[in-house]
Amino acid sequence: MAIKIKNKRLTDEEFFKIRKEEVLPMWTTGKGVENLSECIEIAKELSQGKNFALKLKEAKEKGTHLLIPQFGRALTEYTIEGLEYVEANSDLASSGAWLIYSDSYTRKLDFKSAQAGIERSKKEGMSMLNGWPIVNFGVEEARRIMKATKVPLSFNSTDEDGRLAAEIALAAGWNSCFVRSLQEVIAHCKNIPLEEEIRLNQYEARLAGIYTENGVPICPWNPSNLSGYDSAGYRCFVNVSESLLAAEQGVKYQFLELGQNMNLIQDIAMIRVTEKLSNEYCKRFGYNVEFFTGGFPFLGAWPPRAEEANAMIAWNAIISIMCGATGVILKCQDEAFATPTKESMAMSVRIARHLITLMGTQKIPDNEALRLEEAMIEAEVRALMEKCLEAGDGDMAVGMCRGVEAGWVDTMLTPWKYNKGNVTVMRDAEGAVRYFNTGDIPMPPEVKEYHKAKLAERAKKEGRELNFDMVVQDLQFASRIAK
Amino acid sequence: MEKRKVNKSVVIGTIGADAHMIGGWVLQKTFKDAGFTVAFLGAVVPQQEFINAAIEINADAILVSSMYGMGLLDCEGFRGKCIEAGLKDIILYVGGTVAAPLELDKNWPEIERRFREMGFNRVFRVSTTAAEVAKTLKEDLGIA
Repeated sequence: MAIKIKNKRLTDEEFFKIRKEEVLPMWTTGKGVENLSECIEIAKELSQGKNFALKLKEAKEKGTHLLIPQFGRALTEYTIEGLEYVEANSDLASSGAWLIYSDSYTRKLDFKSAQAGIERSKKEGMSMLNGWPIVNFGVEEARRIMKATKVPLSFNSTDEDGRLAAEIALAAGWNSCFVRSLQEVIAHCKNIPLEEEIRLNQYEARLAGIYTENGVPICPWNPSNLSGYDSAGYRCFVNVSESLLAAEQGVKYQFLELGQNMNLIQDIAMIRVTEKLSNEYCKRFGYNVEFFTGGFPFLGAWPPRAEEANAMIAWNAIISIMCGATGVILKCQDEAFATPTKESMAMSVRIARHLITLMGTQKIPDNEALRLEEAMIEAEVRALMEKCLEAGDGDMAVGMCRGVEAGWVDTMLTPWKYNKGNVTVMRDAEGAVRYFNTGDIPMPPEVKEYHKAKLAERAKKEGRELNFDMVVQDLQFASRIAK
Repeated sequence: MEKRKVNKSVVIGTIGADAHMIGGWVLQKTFKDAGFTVAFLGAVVPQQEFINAAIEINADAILVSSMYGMGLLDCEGFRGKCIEAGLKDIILYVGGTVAAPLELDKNWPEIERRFREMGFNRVFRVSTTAAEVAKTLKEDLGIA
């Protein structure tokens, strides 16, 4: 298949043509952000003292952590009420930021359903959507939320096309959108080709670049949340490859955010290797980017009881803290049941804040197990990156498309139809995620052997042969609770 | 009226704009292992696609997964569409994180009432195992 996409910066002419023809007409609220220079000026003013990129920079320099709870309700009033409640009932304001998510209709550009959800929420007196429908409400409402909080706001646009949502968020002084492509198709999409997803994300990244160049530093999230059941190497590869695509569009700050699999050594190794290789590859291509890292709590199935959920909140936060990741993203004890409530989110912030107090400056000490894990992840990711660059003649966007098409870029489970799904992963005796089947991934032989040996330890410990049923059982590894 | 012959076949998928497909994936494996014919539709599945698949495989039941909290909205009108398609008596199950507001989840009988009113035969909590669902369906089909 001929691949048309190139990892090349959009010219102003291209950008403004797309903006006028594709992005702003998506919904009536696109009109509210028509004047880009005016939007940038207002964003500058509104994010004064609470700029996400600058707060990350400050925390990284001090070696502290930014706690990042997540929230989003169907109505602006409910959303503001939630933010204010959490900020009043925890010390989020001292070092924190918000990740606001939109509802899933908005993420699929189904603004009519989002509108029906808004009306329904008003009628029922509760939030019937699973997030705040940013596009339906538009920029003035987004600015209201920005004014109501004491900390930076970042926005989770997600799914196929977050362009109009990102326009509204950035114009309201929220300082973050998303730069991703492979992450998104694996996590939330079904039919869109990767090439088209990369094209949509080039716009969102370029928008962040334009704000930054005009005095409002934007730090987009470059996430690897994926399906929730992916190898550490694949997660890392997704971030590193996408860091190049974002950098080309002029993104100067990137928040490398990785979904944790909940094995201390492996997660820390994964986050560190991601930062190291993102830096290295961006430098190799002449991009000047400042990276920050963040750990995202487990994305698979959560346990349906508060005690177990709180254990997971704490363990996920400890891993991020011991890693030295600047961002500590938080879920809450409602995860298994419903959209987070303000009370539970405030509780999560307090849990994490107390962990930081208790742990002092402790970080994981350098050790052989960690070095080995880092070496193995690094070897896997380098092999993938180099193969992509080779297949794309030095163009990462082309290489990624070719890799997915041929199946040597692959992960286990996704709603996305273009993923081959020939790899399987399961947990080893220590709970680290290993390849049970490496499919067509270009794994260096020593890495393949390492994964095999680690799984053999589990087979020995449990006194049984490894089989596919164990892969299925592992999907419920964290959600099962003892009776 | 003659009773429809049990065909041991089910349609499974995640409804609406919801991309969570792993619960459905575990379910489809369990049902296949239990000897059922399964049409597994993955995620982001519109109502009509469930119904078309049910007609195609002559399904006994449609098992709807909803994990993102908007199941109550996405399932509205489902039974009506089944009736229109000639599937008046097909068994409809729904399960997962079916309502975004925690106050509703805590009032489970109200959730059950709402789904029953919409014509669903059963609604399962997120903590239900796939094996429990398979056992229940066999009982409902009289083949346990």
